[in-house]
Amino acid sequence: MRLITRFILPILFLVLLISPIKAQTYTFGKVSPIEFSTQHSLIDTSDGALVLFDSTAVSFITIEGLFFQKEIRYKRVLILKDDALQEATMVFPKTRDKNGITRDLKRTFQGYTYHLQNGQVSLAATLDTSDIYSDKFSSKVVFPKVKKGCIFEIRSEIEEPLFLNFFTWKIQEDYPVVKSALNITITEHFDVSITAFGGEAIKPISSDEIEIRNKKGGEYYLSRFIDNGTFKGQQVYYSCTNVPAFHGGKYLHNPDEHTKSIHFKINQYNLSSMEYDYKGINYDNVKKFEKSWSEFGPEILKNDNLLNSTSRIERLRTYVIPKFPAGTDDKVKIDSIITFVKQKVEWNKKHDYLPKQSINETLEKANGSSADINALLLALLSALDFKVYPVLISPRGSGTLITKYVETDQINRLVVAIELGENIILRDASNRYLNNALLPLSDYNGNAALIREDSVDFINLSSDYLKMNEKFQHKILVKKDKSCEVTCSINPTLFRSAELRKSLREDKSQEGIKRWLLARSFKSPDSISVENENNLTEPLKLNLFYKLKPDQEADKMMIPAIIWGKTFTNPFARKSKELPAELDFCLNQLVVNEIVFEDGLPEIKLPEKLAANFNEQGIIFQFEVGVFENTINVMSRLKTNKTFFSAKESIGIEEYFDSIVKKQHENITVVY
Amino acid sequence: MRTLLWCINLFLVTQLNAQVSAVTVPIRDSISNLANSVIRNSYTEIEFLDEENYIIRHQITTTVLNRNGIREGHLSHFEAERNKFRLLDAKTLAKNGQTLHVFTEGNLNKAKLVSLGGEVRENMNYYGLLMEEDHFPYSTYCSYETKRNGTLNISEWMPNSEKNSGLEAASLKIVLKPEMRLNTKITGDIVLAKRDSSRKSKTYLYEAFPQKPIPAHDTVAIAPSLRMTLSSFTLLGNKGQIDTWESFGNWISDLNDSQIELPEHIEKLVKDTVEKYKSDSLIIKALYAYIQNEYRYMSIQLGIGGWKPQPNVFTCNKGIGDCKALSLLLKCMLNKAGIEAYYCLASMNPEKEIIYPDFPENRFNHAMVCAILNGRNYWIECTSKTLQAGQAAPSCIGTYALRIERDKSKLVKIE
Repeated sequence: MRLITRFILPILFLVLLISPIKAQTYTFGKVSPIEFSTQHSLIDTSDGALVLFDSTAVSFITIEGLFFQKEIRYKRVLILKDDALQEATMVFPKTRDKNGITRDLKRTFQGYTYHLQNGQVSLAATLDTSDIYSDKFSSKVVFPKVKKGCIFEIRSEIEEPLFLNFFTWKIQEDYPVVKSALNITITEHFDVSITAFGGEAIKPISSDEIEIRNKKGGEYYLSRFIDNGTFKGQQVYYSCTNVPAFHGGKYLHNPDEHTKSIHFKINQYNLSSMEYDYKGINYDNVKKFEKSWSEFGPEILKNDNLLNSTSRIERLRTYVIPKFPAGTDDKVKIDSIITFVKQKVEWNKKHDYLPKQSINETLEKANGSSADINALLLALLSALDFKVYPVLISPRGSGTLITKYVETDQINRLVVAIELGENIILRDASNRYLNNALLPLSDYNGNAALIREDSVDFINLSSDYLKMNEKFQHKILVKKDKSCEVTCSINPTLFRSAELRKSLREDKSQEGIKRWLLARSFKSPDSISVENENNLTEPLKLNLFYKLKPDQEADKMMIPAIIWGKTFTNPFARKSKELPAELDFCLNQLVVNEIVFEDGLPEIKLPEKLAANFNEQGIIFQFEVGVFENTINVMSRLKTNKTFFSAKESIGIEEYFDSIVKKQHENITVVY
Repeated sequence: MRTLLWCINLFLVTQLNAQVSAVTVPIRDSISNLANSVIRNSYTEIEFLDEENYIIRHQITTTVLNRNGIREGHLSHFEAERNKFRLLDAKTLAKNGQTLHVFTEGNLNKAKLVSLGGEVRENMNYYGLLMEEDHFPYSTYCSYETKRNGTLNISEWMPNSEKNSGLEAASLKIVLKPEMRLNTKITGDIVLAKRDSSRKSKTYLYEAFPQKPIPAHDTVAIAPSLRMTLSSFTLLGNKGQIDTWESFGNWISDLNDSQIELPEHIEKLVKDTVEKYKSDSLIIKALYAYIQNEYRYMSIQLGIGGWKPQPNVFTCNKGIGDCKALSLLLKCMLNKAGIEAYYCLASMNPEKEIIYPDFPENRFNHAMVCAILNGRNYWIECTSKTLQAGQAAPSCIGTYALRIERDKSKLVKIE
C-alpha cells in the first residue's frame, strides 16, 4: 500500500498532468504558449494547419410559442504553413426557406488572432465588423493579422428561425482536429434521425463524454456506415479527439461516405400545442418529413407510368412483344426483350427513379430517360408473365442508399428485378452498348431497394462482387534488319468495351479509341481493326498493328507497364499521405508479351519468376518470363477480389507495386 | 409614341421572320461538315445610351445537328448583379420552320452565383434555358436584352466561339450618340459593312463571314472577334479616357492616389530597413520579405474595389490584401525608401486575354510591382509566398504589363 501511495500514484498523477489530452482545456479568449507547439501532438501534423478545437452547441428552442435554431460554435486553429492561410476566411452560410428567403434573428461573431513573440502570447488583432462581409447567402469572416505560426479563434452565435434544414456536423476535414465536440439539444417537439458516417463508431451519450482516441498512424480506419439512431426530446453529446485529416477524395467514389461526420434529419415534428407564425413563416401543426421504406414502396407502385393495367399488358402482348417459339428458355427471352428495348428506344442520357412518360409515349417517341426505358422493360417482361419488380438505386457519387429511411435526393435510378426460380436478377435496358447482363458501373454502389407490393427488400449491389477480366496480348516480331512488326490485341473489360463501342458508333471515327489508347500509354498505331463490335456479350477486341523502323526501341515501347504504373492512374501512387482507395471493380488483368526474333534468339537477360499472394488485402500478383525457341514469353497477372482499400493497406500495396513495375522494366534486357 | 412602338414591333417581327426562315434553308456542306451545330443567323445590337449605360439586344438561331451539339442550342448567360436581363422570345423549331415548343420567362433557370470560400466578390446572376428536342436536326431561336452599367469592359463580339460549330451569318449593329467615339479592333473575317450618322446617332454595322467549324482538336485557330472601347467611359461613377495607354493609366492613377498614405509604423519600418541595408537590391528583398511574411492574400472585390485598391492603412491594419492592395503597399514602401517602383497591371490569363499594343483597352486582371534597379525592370509578385524578388508569376512572363505613371503610363513586356 505504501508502495502505491509513494510511487505509483505520483507517477500516475504526473502522467495525467503532462498528458496532452488532459492539457486540452480551452477557454475562449485565452491561449497558452504550449498551444503554438505541435511537439506533443498525437496526430500527424504535417498538414498546413491544426484545428485545436472545434466545438458546436446546437439547440432547437421555443420562445413564446416560436421556435428557433440556435448554434454556438467555438473554433481555434493553429496555422502551420502558408498554404493553410485560407482557413482564416470562414464562411457561415445562411439557411434559406423553400422560397430561397433567408431570415436571421441573430448572427454575432467574436474572434482573436494571437502571435507568439519571445515565448509570450500577444493579441495581434480582434475581429471587428469591418472583417465580416455579408450578403444574402452567407457571412464571410476574414481574420486579420493571420500568418504562419499564429493562432486564431472564433466564437459565432447564430439564431435563425428553424427552416427545418438540419445540418451535417463534419468532425473530420482537410486538417487534423485535436478535439471536436457537438452538443445538441432536441426538444420533445421533434423526432430526429441521427446518422453517423465514416471513421469508427461515434456513440452519443446523454451525460458524460466519450473520447475516441486515434494513435498516430495507427488505429484509425475507415468503414462505410456505422451508427444510426432516432432521438426525440434528448440532449446528445459527441466528442472526438485527435481526428486525423481526411485526404483521398480523388480515389473515392463518394468521399462524404468516408469522412467522419454526423447527419441530422428531422423525421417529424409536432407543434400542435404551440402557436407559431414567425415573420410569415407558417408551418403545419404536425408534419412528417421522412418516409420509411415500407411507406415509400407502395407509393412507387402507384405511379401511373409504372402501373400496368391488364388492358395495357394485353395490348403489349398483342402488338409489341416479339413472338417466341414454345419452350424458349427464360433467360433467352429476357435477353431478347432487353435487346428489343435497346434497339427500339434511345436513351436520352437522363436518369430518374420514376418514369416521366407512359409506356406508349416511350414507344412512340423512341426516346426516354433510363426510368422511362426500364418502365417499358418492366411492362414487357410482365406481359411475358415474368415476376418483375422495380428496383431503386443510388448511384456512385450520390452516396450509398440509406436503408433506415428514404432519402429521395439520393435515388435517381430505376432498374428491373426479375424473379427466376429462387434467384433474382437485375437488368437495365438504357445503355445500348453495355452487355445485357450488366448494370451501368455507377449502379454498383452498396444497397439497392427492391420494391414489392407488401415490402421492400435490400439487395447488396457492391462492386466487390463484380469480377472483370481484361487481357492485353502483344506479339513483337523482330526482323533481321531489326525492324519490328507489332500486333497488339486488347480485350478490355465489358464496361470499357461499352465506352469504346459508344465512341465508335457516335463519333463514327476511331478518335475515341485512339484517345483511349493514348491514355493507356499506347502510341497511335498504323492500323486498327475491331472485332466483336456488335456482340455485346464479348469484350470488344482491338487489334493494333505497328511497323517500326530499326532505330526504334520496339521492346521498350511495346511492353507496357503491367499494372497501374502507367496503364491508368494508380490510385495508390501517393507518397506522403495515408489514403484510402477504391477501384471500380475487382480486376483480373492478364498481360501477355511475346517477343519473336526472326533471326534467332540474341543474348538475353531475364528476371526471375515472381508470385505474391496478399490474401488479407485481396490481391494476387504473378510475373513470369520464359523462352521457347526464338521467342521470349512474358506473362503478368493481377487479381483483386475487393475494391475498397483502407489507408493502411494502400501504403503497402503502393510500395509493392511500384517496386514490381520498376523491376520488371529493368530486368528484361535484349543485347544485339 | 404609338408610331415608335409600331416601329419597334416591326423591327422585332422583321428580325424574327428573318431568323426563323433561315432554318428552312439547307445548310451548305462546307459548313455542316464536322459540325455538331450551326449558327444560322445571329444578330446583336449594342446601343450606348450614355457614357455609362448601354443595352445589348441579341437574337440567335442555331440548328442542332446531333447530340453533341445540344449544348449550343441552350441559352446560358451570366450577368453582373447590377445589370438587368430580360428574355424576349425563345422557341424550338422543326426543320420546316414549324414551332415545336415556346419558352417563356417562367422556363428560365435562374441562379445566383456567389463567390466561393476564399474570396469576397460581387454576386452574379445566371440565366439558363434548356431548349432541346428529341429528334435531330432541330433549331432553337432565342432573343434577349440586357441593360448594363459601366462601359470600361464592353463584351467582345465573337459570333462563333465554340468548336465543331459552323456559322452561316452574323451581324453586329452599334448605335451611339454623335459625340461618342468608338474604337474597335477586328480579328479574323469580320468587316464594317455599313456606317451611318444623323443628328441623333451614329450607327455601325459589322458582318461576319460564314465560318467552317473549327475542329475540337485544333488549338491554334482563333475565332473571329471584334473588340470595342468607348473613348470616354464611366465605371460606377468614375469617368475616364481609354484613347491611349497614358489616358487609361491616368484613370488608374486617379483611383490609387487617395489610397497611398502609409501608416507611421510602416514609414518607420522603411526608414530602419534603408538604414540597415543601404543597397537598393537588399532593401527591395527585405521589404518584399516583410510583405510575404506578414500579409496574406485575400481577394475582396466589391463595387469599384474590383479596380481600386483598398487604402494602405487598411491593408497594414488588417494584414490582408488582394494583388492590387499588396502591390500598392509595396510600391509606396519602395518609393518611400527612395527606390523607383511602379504599380503595374498585368494579365494572369494571357492566352485568352491577348493585349494588342495598338489597341488600348482593359484586359488586365492582376497587379504587380515593377522596381527599376540599375536601369532594369525588376518584377515583384506580391501575392506569392514563394517567389523571389525579381521573379514574375510564371503565367505573366512574356506578356505585357501596363506600368502606371501619371501621364507616362506605358506597356512593358514582362521578361
